[in-house]
Amino acid sequence: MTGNAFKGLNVRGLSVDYQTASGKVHALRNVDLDVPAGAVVGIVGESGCGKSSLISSIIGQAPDNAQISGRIDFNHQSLLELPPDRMRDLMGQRISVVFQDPMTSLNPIRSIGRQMIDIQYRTGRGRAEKREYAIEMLKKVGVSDPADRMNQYAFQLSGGMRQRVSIAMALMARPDLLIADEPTTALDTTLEVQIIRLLKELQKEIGCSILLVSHHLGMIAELCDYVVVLYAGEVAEAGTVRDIFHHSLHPYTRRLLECDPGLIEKVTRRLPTIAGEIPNLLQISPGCIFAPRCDCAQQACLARRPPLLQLGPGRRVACHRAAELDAA
Amino acid sequence: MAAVVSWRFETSRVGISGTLGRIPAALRLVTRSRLGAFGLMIVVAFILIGIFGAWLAPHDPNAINVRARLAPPSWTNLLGTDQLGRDILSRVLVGTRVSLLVALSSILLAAALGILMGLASGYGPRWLDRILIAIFDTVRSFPTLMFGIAVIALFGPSIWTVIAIIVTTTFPIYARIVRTQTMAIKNTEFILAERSIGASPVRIAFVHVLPNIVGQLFILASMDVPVVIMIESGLSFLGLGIRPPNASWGTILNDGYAFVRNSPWPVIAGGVPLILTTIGFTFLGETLRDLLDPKLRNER
Repeated sequence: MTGNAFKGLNVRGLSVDYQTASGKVHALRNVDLDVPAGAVVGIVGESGCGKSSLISSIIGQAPDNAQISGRIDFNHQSLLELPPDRMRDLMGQRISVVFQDPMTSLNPIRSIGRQMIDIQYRTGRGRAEKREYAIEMLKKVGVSDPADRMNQYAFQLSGGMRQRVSIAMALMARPDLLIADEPTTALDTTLEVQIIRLLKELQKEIGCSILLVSHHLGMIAELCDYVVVLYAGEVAEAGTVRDIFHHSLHPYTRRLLECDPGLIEKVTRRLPTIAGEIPNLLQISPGCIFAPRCDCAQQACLARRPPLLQLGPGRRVACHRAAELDAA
Repeated sequence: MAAVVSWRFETSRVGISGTLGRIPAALRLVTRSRLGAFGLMIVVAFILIGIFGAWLAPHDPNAINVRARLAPPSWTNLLGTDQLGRDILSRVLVGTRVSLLVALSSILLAAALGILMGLASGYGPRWLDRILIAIFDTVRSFPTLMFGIAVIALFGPSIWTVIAIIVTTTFPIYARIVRTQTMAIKNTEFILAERSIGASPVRIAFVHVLPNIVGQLFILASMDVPVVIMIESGLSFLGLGIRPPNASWGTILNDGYAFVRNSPWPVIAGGVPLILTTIGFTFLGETLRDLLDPKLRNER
């Protein structure tokens, strides 16, 4: 399978600025990210931390007013410099995406079957073969009566079913990299668990890498091998899922974990929050981006930006006091 | 059981016909709905009258018979006569061609132009949108009749000038609607998915956006039929469109208004075909929209 030749997605020093009426919004600053072959990497962060900017830069669909710098390498090919026709060969073949909103990710006036057949236009299969493969994929993602569903339309399916169809369509080409952009946000909790299990099973079977964007910590913990914590457009911390959940170093990650209702043992009336607001991305302060909301912030934190320290292979943290806090 | 299977087969066929290029196939399916069959029947009947009206007419539509002015229906003049004693039935039959020609060609042209410009404006770059919107609003702000008089003064009266005037003044309505609908659809994720796999803007606009919005246009276009015929009659009334003694539904109606106290027949004879065509086109348009929209298709 081509998956063997896949050498991963490497993002280096990615910065995205949006030119707006009120000035330049620095949505992403110097982001590094690695998705090794066969691994599931989660990106976690609050709303507005740049998750979507990251995804749209990778798939080449950043808005017109975006200025992108840095490198995005897929299989050692720079995606940002790739000519459109080469990009076309990658997208939907080697890279595919499951979008956030299953309500709008299918064309409402084309039958599910037609869309699933159409999307195989590059395979060179015959029509009957395509249809059969589509039905097989639907069966694989747990859609009941797959043959009948082929004649149905998006509005006849529930949200969970639609997301399953999206996943089936994304995995049809057996991509090397599946990007899942908050695939369960629009679904309820029971469905969420089902979709997570489904993604996990399919990932094992197909052997693809997954880049999973979510603000659901439980889902990240369940599914991922590596986690990248984004805060206000910067990488706060990165590491294996065990590192992040059991041995987090960055104060932001710690606070984030404290705030996850799923991890709170005591029953409380008030859920914990992180005080303060996410910073204004029009003007970036010279210090640590999290310092204004950080309990452990010191003078140095406000004055100087902490570098992203490499603590081990794939283990990185951007905090001046990481070493002290770790010891404490 | 067999019925269920065949119905399913049909729905899948309609699904495949869900694009513009397959409208003829949808047209065959129109007859499945009672409303659609009725609409289609009326429209086809009027188109046949439009083509063969001159041969069907029992009298010369322009032959004046001053003795029998404003006569009620009789065996010689089935719909009576007008203020000059001309046979109204013959005039309606002959006038159908002009009225339908003006209505159909101007609505088709206006809708086609509106769709093109609306898609370009809604899906294209923002600068293009700004320019096109400025054009739409400028053109919309012309008073139709004044604009018509000016254009006719420049190019001389003819059916084609009338059609050109109607197209210019009505296409911005279609364009505006297409633009708004396009903008609503362009931000959905299936369009983003299309873009990311490298589909060209033209393909996305025509294959994915247009079939999603074209249904509403059918209704709008059908309801515009009487409006357009009335614009034509308005211009004809001013001697700018169809010149007397030639007949059109609009001129028959206008002549009828003037003498409605003396005889209701000219107004009735000119009005009923107008109402019937409108009904026919609306039914047909509604059925077509339902066929193109899977949601409505399955409800029936």
